Amino acid sequence: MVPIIEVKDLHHRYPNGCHALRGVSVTIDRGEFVAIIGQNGSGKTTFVKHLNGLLRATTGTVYVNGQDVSKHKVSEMARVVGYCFQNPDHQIFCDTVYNEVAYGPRNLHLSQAEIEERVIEALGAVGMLHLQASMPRDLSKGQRQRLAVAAVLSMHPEVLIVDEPTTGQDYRDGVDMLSLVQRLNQAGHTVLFITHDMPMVARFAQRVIVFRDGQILLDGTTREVFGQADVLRTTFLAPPQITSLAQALPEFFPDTVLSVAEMVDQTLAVLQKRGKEVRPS
Amino acid sequence: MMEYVPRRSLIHNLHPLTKLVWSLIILILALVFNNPWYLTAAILSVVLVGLIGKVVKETLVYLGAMLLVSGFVFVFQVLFRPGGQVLFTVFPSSWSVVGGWLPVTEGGVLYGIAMSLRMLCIVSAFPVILSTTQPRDIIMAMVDTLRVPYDYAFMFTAALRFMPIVMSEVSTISQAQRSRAYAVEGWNPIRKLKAFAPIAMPIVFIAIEKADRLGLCMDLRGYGSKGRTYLHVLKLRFLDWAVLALTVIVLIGSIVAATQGYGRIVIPQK
Repeated sequence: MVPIIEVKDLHHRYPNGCHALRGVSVTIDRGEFVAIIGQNGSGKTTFVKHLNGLLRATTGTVYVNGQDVSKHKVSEMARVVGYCFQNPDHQIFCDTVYNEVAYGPRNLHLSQAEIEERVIEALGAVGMLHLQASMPRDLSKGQRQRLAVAAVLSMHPEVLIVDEPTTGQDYRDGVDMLSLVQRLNQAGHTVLFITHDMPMVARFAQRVIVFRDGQILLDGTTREVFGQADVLRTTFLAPPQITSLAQALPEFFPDTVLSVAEMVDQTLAVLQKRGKEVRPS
Repeated sequence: MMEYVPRRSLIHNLHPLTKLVWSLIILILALVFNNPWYLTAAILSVVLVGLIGKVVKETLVYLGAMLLVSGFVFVFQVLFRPGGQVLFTVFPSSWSVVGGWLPVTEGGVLYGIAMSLRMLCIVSAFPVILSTTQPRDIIMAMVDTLRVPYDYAFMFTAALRFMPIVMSEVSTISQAQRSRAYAVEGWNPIRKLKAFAPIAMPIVFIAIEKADRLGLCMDLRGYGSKGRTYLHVLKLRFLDWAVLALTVIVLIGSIVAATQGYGRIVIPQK
């Protein structure tokens, strides 16, 4: 099967001379749930902006869904790639939640019935059906962010890119947001999200791509990437604390631990092997 | 947009007041002369100053953008200020009804060239000043030397500082909307105007929010408390006096020359 995203030796140089991407090659299959991490200025956002043509490759190729992105306008790529910007206020402009979500499908010149169906579906997916007549500016930050996702979802993109969905949110809004994205992933969307929040990465992502200085430093399953704490440290990243704790006790935890539940399981397994009768509380 | 470009140059070291006087004199020169060659020379002298100030690229980019505006000035002057010999008419005289309308005349073309160059000359000094002078120094020059109330001077530079921020926000908003298949299509002006809303609405809200935050930050940092003192006090130095003397000599020389008829041409008018 053709991978949904295929990037080969991508370089990007901004007009001011900043060489932001230096040879990025990556293949992402349909249905993957990918976290993109790295320091500010490491090229994460520059990279994802190539996937819908907001930025054009200086050299290298970007194929999405078998299409050469360089041959399409951003507005054409919008059918395939949905991009949620970090700040929802950069896109919200309508007088009602309904119209905001309907804006994208209207741009695609769909029929009225189809638009209505998609808006209802998208608002349902983000749990905001009851707010469809509200004014977007009156919503909370978390709600506005979910609205921004709905506004992109209603265009039925196969790929969903979410830029820093949890930044500036409290823990609960962050978990809500990523749970929503996870459901969309399970419903078939390929998801890429940029984040600085390592516990969220451990909890949600299946695959992690680490950027450093415009190149991919690490690329693998979440377990593989967080297992290489020493490599992550070179770009000032650290696995979640529970993972670091396990790594500090290698004789007890030879495998990478990603959650408290995993640590409990492994601890019990070790204790049982030593013949102690333990029962989790 | 014009922003301060931190570099080391002779022009950067000048007192803002010196640069303001210089730009004022460029303005007077632009009004005194109407000979296109003289006006071109004045513009080139500004570019030369930009070269000395190591901001020639910024200056030329700005002048390139302004060329569009002066192009409009040219077209309007040519069409609506006829005079002298008719070169041709926009609607050929052989056409019925509209034939012979909008004559393009010798006087119109000359006047158009002179006016568009004059406009270009007047605005040419701005990029050089703004890219070689820190906003806080402009405030200081206005407050300390020109006795402008601090509030007004601050307002002026805050507005200047705001423009690049707004432009970068507009670019982000435009990217966000294009990601939602926003595209301005076709000719229809009403549709074009409507297509403006997805960009205009967010920028208005964001600008208000940013202005609000700026006001709050100013309050928190004691803006408006009594007895303001200044960390950097600017003084006119020898170089400033030399430049000022030079510009004044050029000014007097130019006015004398203009009264003798140099640099002025007679443009036929109907």
